[in-house]
Amino acid sequence: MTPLLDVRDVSVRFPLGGSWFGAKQILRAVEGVSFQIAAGETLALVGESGSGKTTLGHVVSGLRSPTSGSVEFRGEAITRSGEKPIQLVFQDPFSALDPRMLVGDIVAEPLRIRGGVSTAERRDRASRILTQVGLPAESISRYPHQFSGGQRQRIAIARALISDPQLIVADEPLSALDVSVQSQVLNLIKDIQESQQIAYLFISHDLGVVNHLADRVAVLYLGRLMEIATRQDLFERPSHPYTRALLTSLPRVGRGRRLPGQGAHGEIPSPLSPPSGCVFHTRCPRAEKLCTEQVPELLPVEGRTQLAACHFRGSGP
Amino acid sequence: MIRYSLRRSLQAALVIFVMSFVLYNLIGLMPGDPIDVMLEGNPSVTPELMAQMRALYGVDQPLVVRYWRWLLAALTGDFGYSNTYFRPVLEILVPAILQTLKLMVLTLMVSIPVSLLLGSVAARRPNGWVDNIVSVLALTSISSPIFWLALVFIIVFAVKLQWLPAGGSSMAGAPLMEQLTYLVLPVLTLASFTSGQLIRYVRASMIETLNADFIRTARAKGLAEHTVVLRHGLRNAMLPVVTVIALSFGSLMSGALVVETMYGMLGMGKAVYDAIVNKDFNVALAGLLFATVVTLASSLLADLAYGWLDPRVRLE
Amino acid sequence: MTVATNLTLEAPQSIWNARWNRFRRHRLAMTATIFLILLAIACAAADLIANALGVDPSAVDLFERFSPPSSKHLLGTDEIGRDVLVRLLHGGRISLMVGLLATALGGAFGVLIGVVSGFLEGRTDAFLMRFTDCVLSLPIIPLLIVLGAVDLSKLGLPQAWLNSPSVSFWRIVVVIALVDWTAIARISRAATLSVKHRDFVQAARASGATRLYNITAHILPNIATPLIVAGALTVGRVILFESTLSFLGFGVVPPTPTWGNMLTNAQELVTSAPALAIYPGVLILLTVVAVNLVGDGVRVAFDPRSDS
Repeated sequence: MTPLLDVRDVSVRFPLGGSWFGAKQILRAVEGVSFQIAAGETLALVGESGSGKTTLGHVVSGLRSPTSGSVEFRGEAITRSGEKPIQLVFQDPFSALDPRMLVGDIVAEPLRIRGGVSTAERRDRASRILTQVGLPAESISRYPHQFSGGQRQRIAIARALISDPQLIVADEPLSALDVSVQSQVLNLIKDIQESQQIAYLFISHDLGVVNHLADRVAVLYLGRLMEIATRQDLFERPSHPYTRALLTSLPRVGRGRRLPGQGAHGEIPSPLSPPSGCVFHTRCPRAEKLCTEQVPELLPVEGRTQLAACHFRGSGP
Repeated sequence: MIRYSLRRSLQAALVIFVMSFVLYNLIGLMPGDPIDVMLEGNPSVTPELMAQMRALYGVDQPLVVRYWRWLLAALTGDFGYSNTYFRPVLEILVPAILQTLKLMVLTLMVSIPVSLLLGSVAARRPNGWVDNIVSVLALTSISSPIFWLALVFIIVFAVKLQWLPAGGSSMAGAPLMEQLTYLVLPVLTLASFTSGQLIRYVRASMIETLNADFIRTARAKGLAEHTVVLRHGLRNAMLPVVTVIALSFGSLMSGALVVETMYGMLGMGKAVYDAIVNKDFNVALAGLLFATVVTLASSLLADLAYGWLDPRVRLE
Repeated sequence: MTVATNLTLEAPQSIWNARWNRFRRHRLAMTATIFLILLAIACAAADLIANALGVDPSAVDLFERFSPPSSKHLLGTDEIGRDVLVRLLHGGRISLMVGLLATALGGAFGVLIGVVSGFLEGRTDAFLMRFTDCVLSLPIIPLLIVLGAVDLSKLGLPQAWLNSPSVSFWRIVVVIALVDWTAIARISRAATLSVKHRDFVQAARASGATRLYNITAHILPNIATPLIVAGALTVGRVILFESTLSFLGFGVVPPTPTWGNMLTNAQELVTSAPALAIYPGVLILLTVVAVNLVGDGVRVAFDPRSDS
């Protein structure tokens, strides 16, 4: 069976500088990333800021072409233009909605771009979808500035839902919201997840939220996949030191102990000059000489479902 | 930084080259042609002679060829002859340029201190009565047609009050004071014209600076108000102001052209204006090109100065 | 869906309503607007006013030269006995029309350059912006004079059209528009750059929107505010350019009166009839001040921060 989304060996590199005289520097935002998403499945993409999560999200949604590698949606290559059954939800609900457009027009925009739907029907579907996300139907004749951050994120979600997408790329949809609002929007997303067969690529740095929503989790560090596993495996038996470090930094209310292992020390290195070998070795508590020399491949961990890119995958700390 | 300066200078040189070609074409589009103008009113000129003259001066050549010849000559400092004065172009333009430079420098010597003073005084209390008066002055200045300003000054100071001459220039060798009296009205006119814009920039820049954290710190330290405004405020507000002054050379040049025509001063502007009216193509072309070079050079200087003064630009 | 939030929406007050309210509170801008409207009406009705006063705007009457203001000639007559008021109103038509048309033409060009430049970025942007800088660094008045002096027949335009009286009007509109589009181009580019990276443009792209769709549906409406303000300032500048050019004899030529060329004659009469040199200039000054004030009012009205 072909997966819904098939990302194969995708790399994105940005040339920096490069004037008449200066030598070009290359920023490796994403390096050799492969994963798949099945229909109706939620894959969470986690990593620190600067790990290339957002760039990867842009590649998947067709906003950016990868430097190399391929992205296929139901067996067909994704192009930068043309109709796509993929929609986006952004982090900043203030930048995501055009302040000069009525909310109804914003929500119905994907239909307008696709064409073939009458104005009256667009209005109708916009007000229906708005009530679905918990906003009054009259919202269609208001402007975005009349809504709060949480309400705006609902509007953005409504816009993503209106064209019946099969995949929604959500780029940190909660992190710009107040904590009290976060849980409401999180519940909304969960409701939609349960009632409709939509797959998600859920980009987040918040492992607590990921634990709530994801079927599987992919961990990104400096543009490379460190580990990819089902949610349960990842949270209970992380096999990459970086994953363990991330989990350690997660506050665990009501549990007596933290996961064994240490947090990652030091700063995340610059993606302009990533470390040799395993990119994580500069911060890894158990790095050895081998790690500085050889890039570990993303391989199955013995006896488990997950893949990890570590020379010592599986062997406990 | 050196690389940046070099690149910007190269760019400017390229622009001057392109502009010289554009201006050459524009001048070519003016009514008449140089040979007609030269032989105008001479009854003994036959069509054959005309053709001979055209060939002699190369006017029958294609435009690009003529431009190339002109450019090569211009690069050696030969801009051709004026066909109204029958003298080399440079002989006419160089004294005119000096005259205009005198006008522009004197104008800046008046308008910069006045603008700095009025702008910072206004910025101390935005929307206070001082600020309102200064704002009205600045608005009037940027909204007045400069030729009319000159006309009003002539009516008031020369015709009614008879304090100053209405135009022209003093005899050669006249005492310095007398020479200066002829410059007072032109400088006053040009300064009133340029100060409005400058006052607005100084004021905006000062308001921004005076709201900055380091000014509050200076105030909190208990420094005297004038120390705060002068030492800390004005100095930091100067950076954008210097740029604006350099960039305003173009409009200063434009203003000088009108002022010189109005007061009958023999400067660059008047020379270019007369050349266009009299179809003196070579003088018009060289004059325009010079004005372009001056404006470009000043904006280049502004850019580079900004780079030296503001380390953030340098790093780019 | 389980989530139902109780929220009361404010009445749908349109953005334009709020802006109009803010603009109205800007007293100077309101006064300026009223002045400009009255001036425009008076200029448009110049012929009616001339009829009502019983004067013929182009009639030369050498027995009534320099007559002082009277009930027939409200502002007196000029050096060949023409009514000054009616000529001023006719001149106002030209000034206002040139101001609006040259701004519209140059503005359209500037917006095109700026939006394309900002939207495409890269080489196109670098090239267009160098071009803009080039034009920006030229001394404007000398350039306008040369452009105003260009012999249009050398451009291959039909002679029949060149002889029509409206040519000097349209020529000055085009000449000014050719030179004064740079400010608007730079402003549109900066505004486009700041809008195009906002997420709503990305969202539309992800849905398959074309560049043209994004420019017309998202970019242009969102850069309208700075453009309206810049446009108002441009109108003022254009009126000044027009009067300067006409004054120097390279703009609209007599006998069509404009505020600029009325001053050309007045210049020689400063000793005998200084009033003739005052009226047109005062009108230019007032009009440009008013236009600038309106621009200021629009800026305040469009800035939501000024609501506090």
